Amino acid sequence: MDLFLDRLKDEERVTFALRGLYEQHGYKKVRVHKFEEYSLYIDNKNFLKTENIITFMDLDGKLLALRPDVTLSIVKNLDAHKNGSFEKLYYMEKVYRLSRQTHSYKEISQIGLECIGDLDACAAIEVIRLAAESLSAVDDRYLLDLSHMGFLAGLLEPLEIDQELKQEIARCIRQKDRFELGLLLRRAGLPADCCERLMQIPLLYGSFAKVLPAARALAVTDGMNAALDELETLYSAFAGTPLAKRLNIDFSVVNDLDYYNGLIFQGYVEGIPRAVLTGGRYDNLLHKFGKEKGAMGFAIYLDELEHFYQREAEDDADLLILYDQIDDYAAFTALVEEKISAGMRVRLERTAPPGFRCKQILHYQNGALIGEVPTC
Amino acid sequence: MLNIALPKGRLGDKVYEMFSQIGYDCRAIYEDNRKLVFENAENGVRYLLVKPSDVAIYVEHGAADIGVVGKDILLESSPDVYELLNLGIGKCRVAVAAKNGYVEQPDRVLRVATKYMNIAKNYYAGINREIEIIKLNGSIELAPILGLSDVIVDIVETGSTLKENDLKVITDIVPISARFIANKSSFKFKNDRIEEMLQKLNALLQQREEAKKV
Repeated sequence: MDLFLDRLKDEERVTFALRGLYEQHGYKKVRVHKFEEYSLYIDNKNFLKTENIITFMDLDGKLLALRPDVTLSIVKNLDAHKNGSFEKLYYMEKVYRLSRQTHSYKEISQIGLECIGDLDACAAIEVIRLAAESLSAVDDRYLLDLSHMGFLAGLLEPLEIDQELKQEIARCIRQKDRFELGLLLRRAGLPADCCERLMQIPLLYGSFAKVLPAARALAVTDGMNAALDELETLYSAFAGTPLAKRLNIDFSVVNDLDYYNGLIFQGYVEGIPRAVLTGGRYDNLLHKFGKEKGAMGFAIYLDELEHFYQREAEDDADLLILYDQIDDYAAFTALVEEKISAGMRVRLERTAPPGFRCKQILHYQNGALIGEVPTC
Repeated sequence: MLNIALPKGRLGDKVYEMFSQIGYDCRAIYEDNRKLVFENAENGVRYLLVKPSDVAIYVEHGAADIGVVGKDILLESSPDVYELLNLGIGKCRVAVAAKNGYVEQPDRVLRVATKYMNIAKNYYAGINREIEIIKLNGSIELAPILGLSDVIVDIVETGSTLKENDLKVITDIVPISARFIANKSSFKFKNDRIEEMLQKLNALLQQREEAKKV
């Protein structure tokens, strides 16, 4: 059976490539049920960053939801009592979320990968490598921005400030909004040296060589230094490889402090206005489910690719065969199959469909294909 | 090429003046015609003139790499962009205003006319006041005069429009000024150019600040 791989659209080719990539690294595909109990999402709404979820009543009156996320389902169903080995999984699923652009629900194709267990540097490096390789499958003009939750957390920890202020600080940093951050810090009356440091965080963007020394200068707690050590170890694994040029540090990448704890990252492709890949280490989510393991993963939003790949509107088929009367069906089928195996896309019709575009039209008459009329 | 979205109107003119001062001029913009896109291939900039409330949309979707927009619009639509710099121009505030002599009645639902639905909602939620929002798109000052609403939430610059309509500011909600924003992806792939522009803008702002002191 011929696979006609060159008929694949670019998005489909990416899906194919990613599947191969993850399988080659020993990750196993999982299927996740489309419906989950609504309470799962409501209990973890900060992880999802949304409360807009499609819900419906099950036959027994239980409130169910059309899943807005796959990671939560995977974590919930995880068997935490395995030995020291890892769970290495990937998924290709649809999720249902509110589209900020259109203010309506949208079905989004998501491909994701999770590595769960007692994570070490080796596992983290593998996940980062797979994230970078995944981006390069989309396009070779990509960047992977890395950050570490421990850096900001280490700075905020000794301050003993309330949750709300922490969230506000994180929001300003995420938007690189130093003006609002300054106002906020002045209003909160935090110590001056600490404000000074926080104000520098949105500026920490660029190559590892540029940002690491600047970040070191800001590190005052063990937590901050440990975060930088981890980034340094990670980067050393890629030193000298072509991947190294694609890795940047961006400390304005900050996820929810309740769920994420270690490395976090976002992937961008030139020409796509939003991040196509997001991921990070989320041990805290597992702890919430009473599972004492580490976890790291990422997801790729395939819907962002839809408009990225430009393609010409192509013909509906290569060859249109118009038939009137067929006496010998076997002979007719043989003629058609011959064209198909020559690589043509063949459509059979009695009359040409209106507006049909094809390279060639043939008429089947008296047991032969005749009348090569090129279409205009 | 750096695509820059500017708000049509007075603010846009001021911003263009700043940008041209630091080397991002584009003379075509002065030509009196109906074009909406102006390009200067020499210094690699392309200006898009759009409705002020659309600037953030162009930038968020990457149709423009950077843009300048009032903080009121950012607060209202909270787009996913970087807010890199406060340009300190187009200064005004969002405020609550009512007819002269208006006395608030805390036992009644407050009727608020505004085009800033989210700012109004957030402000009143913050002070625990139940409100009914009437969304208007312009001439907001009319609403309390005609009894359509008790108060309005709107932009106040000098307060003269309010005065002329027999209204006065009751409370200021938030100060507003123009912000320099960037698309998150463009910021990464055109980082050198955007950083360079930021530096020049910062220098210009400092210059202006010092000139004021003298």
